[in-house]
Amino acid sequence: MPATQTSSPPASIGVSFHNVEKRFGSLAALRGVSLEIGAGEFVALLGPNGAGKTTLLRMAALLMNPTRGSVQFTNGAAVVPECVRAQAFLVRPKRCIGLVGHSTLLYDELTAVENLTLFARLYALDKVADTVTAALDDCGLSARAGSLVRTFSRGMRQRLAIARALLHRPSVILLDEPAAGLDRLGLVWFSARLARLKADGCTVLMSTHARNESLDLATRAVALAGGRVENDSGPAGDPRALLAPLRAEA
Amino acid sequence: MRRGEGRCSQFDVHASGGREPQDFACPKQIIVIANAVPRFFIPAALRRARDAERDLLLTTAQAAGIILAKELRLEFRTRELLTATVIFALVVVVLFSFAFDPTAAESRRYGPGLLWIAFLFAGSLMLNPSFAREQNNETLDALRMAPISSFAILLGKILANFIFMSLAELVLVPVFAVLYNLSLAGIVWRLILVLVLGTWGLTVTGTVFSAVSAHARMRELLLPLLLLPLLTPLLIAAVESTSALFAEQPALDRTWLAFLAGFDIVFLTASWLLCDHLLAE
Repeated sequence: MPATQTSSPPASIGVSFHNVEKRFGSLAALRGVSLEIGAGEFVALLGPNGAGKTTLLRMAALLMNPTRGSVQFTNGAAVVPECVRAQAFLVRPKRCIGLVGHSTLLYDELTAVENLTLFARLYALDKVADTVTAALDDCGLSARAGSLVRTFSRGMRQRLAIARALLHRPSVILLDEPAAGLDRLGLVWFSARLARLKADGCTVLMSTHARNESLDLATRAVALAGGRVENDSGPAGDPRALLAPLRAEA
Repeated sequence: MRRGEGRCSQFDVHASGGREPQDFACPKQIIVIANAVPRFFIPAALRRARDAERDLLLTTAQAAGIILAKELRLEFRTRELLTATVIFALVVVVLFSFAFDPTAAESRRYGPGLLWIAFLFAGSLMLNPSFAREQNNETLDALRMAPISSFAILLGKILANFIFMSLAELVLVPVFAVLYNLSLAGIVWRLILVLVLGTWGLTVTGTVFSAVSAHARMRELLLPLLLLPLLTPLLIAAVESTSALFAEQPALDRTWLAFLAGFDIVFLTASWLLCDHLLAE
């Protein structure tokens, strides 16, 4: 029988990119990117348009295979529960990954509650109705739970997209310009949500152009340019120097 | 696929496109299981290992059921496909009847061909948006990221398209019988068998090619171009089977029926084997 997901805290998982190259025909979107992102790190991915941020995130989301190199997901032994370790625990990335992309990944002709219920079922979550209600409460859309997504504003759609991505309590969270369309209150909610996820030990990769509170949570900043890592503050380094120009832009 | 044992593991996505979890702390115990090997050929322990590696939380049937329910809900809310398909197929059948004004003998001879051509055109119209409408908000990515098999996504859509196509035929066949002055008395169940086999082949093939053409710029043109030549054997078998039923001495042509069943099995198996590639970016 297929297992259902329990509500236990997510196990921390790291992501490693080893000499990753991605070509679209003659265009090289990524040129030998190597990055070791440890479990529980909060990484801000920076860079101009076309730097390869989205390609990197889509690869980490298992939506795209590299042309060369490999992407690895690792779980540290320290965070794996003893009972799970005894069963020769294997990292199961699909259920551990949550993605907020450029698009909302939501069905416009379904209501908010129908969208979340669909994905809760696909992730075999326990107590689907309760989980969906809690997610809608959390993102402040309970009052519009029965409304079709196509009637939502851009900001409401984005909040629902974030709620959908976090519904199954992923331990690797991939955010591609997640603050796009969020109003002031939405940004505050989103930053608070990210702070909770960081405290839970989730690994976060967030690409961003704009200044927002969530950047204060970053423990590391990686700047991409022309498909290469141009600058990396490192796991133990201070990301503020790399984030400073971004803040000045806003 | 490989499985290692140990306390600390990795899951790799390689350039080759394959994913293989591997132990990096302990010596590896490697078991190779191809994804394409049917479940019932694999011992239970290996089956569980393979499912764990593929990270499937639901069986294919359960996941396909969820996708099917979503497709039905979307379609019955918007009625985009059904309405357009039924109207289009009705127009084709009515226009043919006006153009030919067939006698009873001509109806028996040409009617089944016209009926299946109407189904085929309507099918290519209906099946096109099956994957194309997943492009709107990149919802196919969300489905691909879920811990379900690719075949479950395809199967859910195939089943939904089969239901929509069957509903369209439910409206179309009685109208066709009236316009072409053909009696359905005594052949209903046999006709349903032929329609089910023919429609299943049409929807399996059409859904697969809808996935193939979804990323293309001229997908509306590409799908019929790919689909119609490939469906020629199915069309011939379906027309011959239907003609045998509308003959003066109605009979079920078992040879053509077996051909239809074979076509269905071959294309369903092919879609199962190729589903990972079909849905890949």
